[in-house]
Amino acid sequence: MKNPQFPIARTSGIVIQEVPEEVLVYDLDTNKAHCLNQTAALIWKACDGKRSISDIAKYVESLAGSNVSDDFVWLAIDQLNENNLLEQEISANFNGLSRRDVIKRIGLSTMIAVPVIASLVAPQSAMAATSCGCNNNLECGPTTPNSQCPANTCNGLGECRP
Amino acid sequence: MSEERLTIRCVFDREFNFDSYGVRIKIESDSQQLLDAAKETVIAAFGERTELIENKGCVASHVFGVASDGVNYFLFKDGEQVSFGKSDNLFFKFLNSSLRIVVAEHADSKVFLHAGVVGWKGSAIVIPASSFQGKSTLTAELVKIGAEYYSDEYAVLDENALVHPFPRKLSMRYFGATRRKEVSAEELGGRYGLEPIPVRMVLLTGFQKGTVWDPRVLTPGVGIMEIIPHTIPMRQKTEFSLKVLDLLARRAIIVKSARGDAKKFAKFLLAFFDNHIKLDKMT
Repeated sequence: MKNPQFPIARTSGIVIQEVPEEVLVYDLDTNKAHCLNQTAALIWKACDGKRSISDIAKYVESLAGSNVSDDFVWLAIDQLNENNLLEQEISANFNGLSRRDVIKRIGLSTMIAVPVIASLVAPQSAMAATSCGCNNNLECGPTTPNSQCPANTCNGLGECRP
Repeated sequence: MSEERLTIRCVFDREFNFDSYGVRIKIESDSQQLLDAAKETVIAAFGERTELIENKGCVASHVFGVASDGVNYFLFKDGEQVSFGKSDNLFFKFLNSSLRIVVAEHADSKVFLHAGVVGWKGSAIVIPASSFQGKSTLTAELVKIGAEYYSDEYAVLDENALVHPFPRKLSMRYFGATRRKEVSAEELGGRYGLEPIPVRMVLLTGFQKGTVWDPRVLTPGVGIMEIIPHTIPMRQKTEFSLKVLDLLARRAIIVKSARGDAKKFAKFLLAFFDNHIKLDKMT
């Protein structure tokens, strides 16, 4: 279902941690952590289902004291969409331009930071980052019966893979 | 080399229980000899944080089984066979590692980071890193020049983001990183840190031959993203882990750069840390 006019920030299945200047969002369904810079966080929080894209642009403009276009908001919405941080999927409307072109255009017209969301998947298992006690491939190869990792998942370099 | 997975069926009629960081674990076996070896492994893994529980049949949240058919050793976790091998040395090393992971994932009111930790003038430097990044080597060099040894494996953070010592010897690789030996802080001419202390620097680094130290101070959010892959209970205790990491990032600077030789870098790092503390006090 698409609702291009009134985006709503996702609230279920996530853990939000406000840190100075940024917001961290952890998706419990996918075990993905997202770091929203100040601008992305501001736009995300403004997605209350009552504001349109233009309303959000005006709202951010009033807080930031710098020009904010609809494209600027779409840039954030596009990333929020991609990272499943909106209740409903919204296709970004860049009028045929690529995201890179939009960033270039926005960068020249505003004083505030472009919205950025950085993401990573938390390790599937603590073992991914933990040594298994094997020191070389002979002791712990991926297919050796001597493997010391569950289900023979040693990487042969002293670590168990998930 | 066969890829066939060996299995064993056995009845465990002997057991002992222990508690570490609030996690209760039962170890069972059909052999007293294996059980004794497992007990030694537990004590090696957790040192003074091992509380052996005598009463048989007590409720444990995690159960490990150790068995042998005379040729292979078999490890079970919560009733499922998880590993096997011929080498008793590797088998008990792996048991040690598995026990530490379970405790690190489920410890009461603690967040375990895979990291080296030293104390310097009442504050901690935490060095999160995966294996083979030179974490223990750098920790050892820092201890040699006077830093207090807290851990070369886990930074144990409490709810206030104070770091506690994780009491085990340093595990040093040698012979082209193919062998390891256990070394105490005293053997390095250093001493152990005993008290929980605040973390003032998180150092994201790894050895790179010929590199120049070029530190970049990360924002708290970006820094926490870099620490998350080293945060053991991230999936089990997400909210608590993030709260503790937030507190950590508010009090400590998070610095990232590759480094060169650990011996030279250790001296430089402590001077850098002193400068940071001095500047921080001034501002």
